[in-house]
Amino acid sequence: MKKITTFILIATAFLLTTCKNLDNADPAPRNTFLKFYEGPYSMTAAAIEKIPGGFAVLANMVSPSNNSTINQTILFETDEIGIRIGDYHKYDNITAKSFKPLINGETLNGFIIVGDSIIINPNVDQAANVSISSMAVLVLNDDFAETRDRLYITDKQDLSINHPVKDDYFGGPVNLTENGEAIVLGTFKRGIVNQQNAPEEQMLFGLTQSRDSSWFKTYPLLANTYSNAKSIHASDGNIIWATAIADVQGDFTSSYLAIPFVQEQSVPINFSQAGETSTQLFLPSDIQPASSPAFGYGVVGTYSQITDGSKGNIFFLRVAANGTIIPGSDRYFDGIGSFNTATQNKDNSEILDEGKAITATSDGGFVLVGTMTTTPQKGNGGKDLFIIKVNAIGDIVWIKTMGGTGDDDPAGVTEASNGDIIVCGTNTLSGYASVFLMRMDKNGELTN
Amino acid sequence: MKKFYLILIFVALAWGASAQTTSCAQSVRLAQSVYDQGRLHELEDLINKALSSTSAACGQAEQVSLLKLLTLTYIYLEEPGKADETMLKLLQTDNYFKINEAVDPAEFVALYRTFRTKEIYRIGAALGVNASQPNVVNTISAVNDASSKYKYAIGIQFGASADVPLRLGKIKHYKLTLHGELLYTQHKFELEQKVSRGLNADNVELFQTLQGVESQNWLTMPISLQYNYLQNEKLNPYIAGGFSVGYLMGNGTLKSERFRDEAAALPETSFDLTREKINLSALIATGIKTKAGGGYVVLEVRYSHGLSRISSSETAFENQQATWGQYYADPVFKLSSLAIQGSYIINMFNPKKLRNRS
Repeated sequence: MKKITTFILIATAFLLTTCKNLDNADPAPRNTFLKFYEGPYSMTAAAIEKIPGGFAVLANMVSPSNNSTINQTILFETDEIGIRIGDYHKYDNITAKSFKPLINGETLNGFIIVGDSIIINPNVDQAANVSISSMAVLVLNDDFAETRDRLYITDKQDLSINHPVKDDYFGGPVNLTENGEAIVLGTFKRGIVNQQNAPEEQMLFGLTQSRDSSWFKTYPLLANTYSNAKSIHASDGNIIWATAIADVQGDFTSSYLAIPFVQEQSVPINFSQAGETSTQLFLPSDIQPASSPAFGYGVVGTYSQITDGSKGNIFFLRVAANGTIIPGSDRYFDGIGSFNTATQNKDNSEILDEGKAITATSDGGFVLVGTMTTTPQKGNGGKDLFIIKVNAIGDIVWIKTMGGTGDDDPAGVTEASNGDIIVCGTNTLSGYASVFLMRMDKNGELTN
Repeated sequence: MKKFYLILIFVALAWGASAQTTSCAQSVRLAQSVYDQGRLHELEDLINKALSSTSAACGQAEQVSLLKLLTLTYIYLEEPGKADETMLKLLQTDNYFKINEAVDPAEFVALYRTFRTKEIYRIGAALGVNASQPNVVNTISAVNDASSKYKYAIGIQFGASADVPLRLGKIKHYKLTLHGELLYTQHKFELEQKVSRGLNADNVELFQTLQGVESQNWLTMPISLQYNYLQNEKLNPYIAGGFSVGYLMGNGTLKSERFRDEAAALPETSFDLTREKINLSALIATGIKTKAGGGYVVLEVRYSHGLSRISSSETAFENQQATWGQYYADPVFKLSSLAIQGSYIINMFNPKKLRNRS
């Protein structure tokens, strides 16, 4: 009897001492990860940036407030393995578009966030005044607190017969110059009666090191609607970005590609274009410098021969350091076809694939991230991530899709110091969106 | 008329059967009488004829009686070879034949003791249930602010069972038994992962909860050494220690559902998770063996402590439906279980002359 009792005690002790709580065990020693960050309400990713010791993620959330809703920007920090540090930092009345960490050496001093601040007033005469958008700039310190009043680029002119509709200003990408000043790209619509169909024009403005507005310039290059990619870069007093120009004003189903290359506070010195003599959807989403400045930039986006939105390919092309699109550098990737053939014809598309973000890699290549739409042949449901590693000339090194039953939509990609690839985006399941952050190794694997 | 024929057939069959029994029984009585009269030389023919008779076949008890008489005969005729041969036949005829030291002649007892008369192994079938629980070695999570835990669930197990009694030195009883099984073992356990999503507009904390059950189907081979610490004819209690090797059939299957406060729940989904194919466990057990028929009924409680990892860090994110659809990443864990099992094992004999006995 004594022996049976002893046995039962030993067995019970074993069962009780087994680690059944996952949170009590040590984290697995690995670099790669996939993490989801959920909020009380749907949260969509806007951008990711590297910061000392980890990553900063920018997202947006719409929260209920007093029988209405409020737009909130969420900023949070993670360590190198995706564990969130601290709380979600929330900023009311702004829908963020981009941000930049203010880093001095290995010290994080704060952030600049650029977004839209929208005032809704349904009780106005002019339909165009129901929603008035201003560009908002937030400056945060290293405690994620706003250090000064927000900067607004807004229409301050009172409504009158001569000015019946307010101008709308929309935020865009932000970046820092070599001397620490900030440049912000945005668009605006002039306050005319039929504002919905007005062209969305481009504007740039600069912020001093103390984050005061220093200059502002509009670029009415063409009287068409522009859709800017999510990045802007400044180098040697020049500023470069990628944009799409709609063929038909106010209708973004057919467009061509342009690379404005302007001198700071001055006029364009280059305006390289692609697709301007043909009909297609040519929509850049991101432009990033190559690992070596001499090799210029890589651009990613969506190209579609047919403009009904049912099919499209991810495109990649290279831009020289002076802003000229390098002829013949364009490559096209299809979520089905590119798994079968190394070279994809730009007009052959089996499904709708969209290029969303790009980063240069230290080996001279680029990683492109986008989405592919699930078909019975391929995909896990909804939109899946479509990730392509290319070499310096755009040939495929590896290619992957991943995702679940919902929609997985990337917002940004960057390379970690050890060559790992970090992808940030939005995962939407049954109408509820969460932010994801994924760290793959340089081969696109999540195994180590 | 028909009834009459049926009765006639029945009577004929009954008479025939009775005649056979009677005939062999008569032979036994006759042989005993001849033996008692000391006419030993007549017995060999008499008994062999009775044993080989097809018209009056003997039952097991009659065969045993005849063989015992024949063995005694050979002993007294000083024909040891034939005595051994007949004793072997006797033991093969009745595996459970026991001598009666108070009655049986000393020579017969001595001869009997030169034979292996105990069972050499036992085989049978086992059926039981187990409660399994992962032992997390390293956590890998796809979410933040989570409290996640495993809970045991009940699985079934069944298969074949075998015992090999071991005799050490001159110990009278078999105190040690080598025990082995080949089992289909179903391991199941539950997972609950609760993730805080922060406060809503009314300052109420919202959660997302994943509830799932993982099932695994294993082919396991536990091997243990049982120590019968109390020679109790009724219960024969024992303790045991050993190891178990498992081979996973297919993959682990996780059936899970995700609930979200103030948001739509995700429907139940079932998906495969990659698991290591081989699992090694250390086991301890205690049980009882009760004689029943030609074998034992065994009741055992067994704890298996997983030694090898059955999930790998490398495959933590392998199933995309699990990660992207349920926010589930596989931790690295070992699997332990507590099982209660009943079995019935039949004694298997192979009597033979022991060489080291004279």
